[in-house]
Amino acid sequence: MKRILLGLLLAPLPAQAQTIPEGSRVALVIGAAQAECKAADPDAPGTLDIQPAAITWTDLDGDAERDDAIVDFNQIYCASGNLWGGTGGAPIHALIDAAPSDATSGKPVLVLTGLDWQVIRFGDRPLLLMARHGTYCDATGSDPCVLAITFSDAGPLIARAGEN
Amino acid sequence: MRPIAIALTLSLSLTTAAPALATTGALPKDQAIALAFAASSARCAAEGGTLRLPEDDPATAVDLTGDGTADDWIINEAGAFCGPDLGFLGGSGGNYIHAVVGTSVSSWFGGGWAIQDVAFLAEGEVGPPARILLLAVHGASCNSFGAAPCFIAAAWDEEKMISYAPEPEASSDDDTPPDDQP
Repeated sequence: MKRILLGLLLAPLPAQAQTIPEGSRVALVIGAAQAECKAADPDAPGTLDIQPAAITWTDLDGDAERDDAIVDFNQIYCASGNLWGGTGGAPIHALIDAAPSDATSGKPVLVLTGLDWQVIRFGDRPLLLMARHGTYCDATGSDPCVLAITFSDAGPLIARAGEN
Repeated sequence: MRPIAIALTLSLSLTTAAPALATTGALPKDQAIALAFAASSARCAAEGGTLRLPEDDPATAVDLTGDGTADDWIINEAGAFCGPDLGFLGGSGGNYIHAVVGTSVSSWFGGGWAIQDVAFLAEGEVGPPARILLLAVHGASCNSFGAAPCFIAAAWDEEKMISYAPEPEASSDDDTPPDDQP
């Protein structure tokens, strides 16, 4: 095997500022969170504090379209209390083809509890890196446990130790 | 494995900011190669052969611990041959790729690798960059077909390389989303 030094291929992908198009799958996720927040305290307004980094449009499935979305509940707060976060982070939704036109496409969705995420490229392929609690790597909680996730039409692909 | 027969390395500017520290017990190149190839050499010998190392240098000096010193090794078995007539090591999933940190050896069967520094948020603060070894592996490791894009991320935890290994009971929210998710 040839060794090819191609460092630039690992550059982070640019992300697009958050938007919540009506009818998109992102709007469905946010709508469900809104209802959950309201249900936590029916007497409160159930307001969501959605930080700028909460919603990111990017390319996760490698089709060169930034029509996939990350909804990160580490960046979304319910005024009624902490509904989603913990020591292992909060739910992070990865939605493939999440635009309004694809709202019923049935394309893959991945929801994992995590601390943070980034999208990079390995060669020409986007890779979703997600930081999770160290126990998911059979280590202590603060150890760096990172998943590398790709998406196919059939769903997310995640390798587990011991299966290689 | 699809032809991702690529080994990638990344020049990391972050390494220049930290004082250089050596990995405890870091091995010189020849010893690291011998340690990494020990298992395959034994397997070849058990079959009656003698392992011949790859013609291309199988070792790449890297910094897997993030201590600022490239005194760890990635040892790639691609091109190793079990002679005189037993053939090249490896198969459709690539070949063994070893990470040698001191005398700790972690091994995967894969077709390519890369190193990436990633800084994540934790409790609202950006933590120190985690140095991640990315490995392109056979799709079967992702419970899919061979050419499916499948990757392992591994990181040094001061004792060993760790990677995603959830307990079965901890994986109920993993990988397979609930049907009612939008």
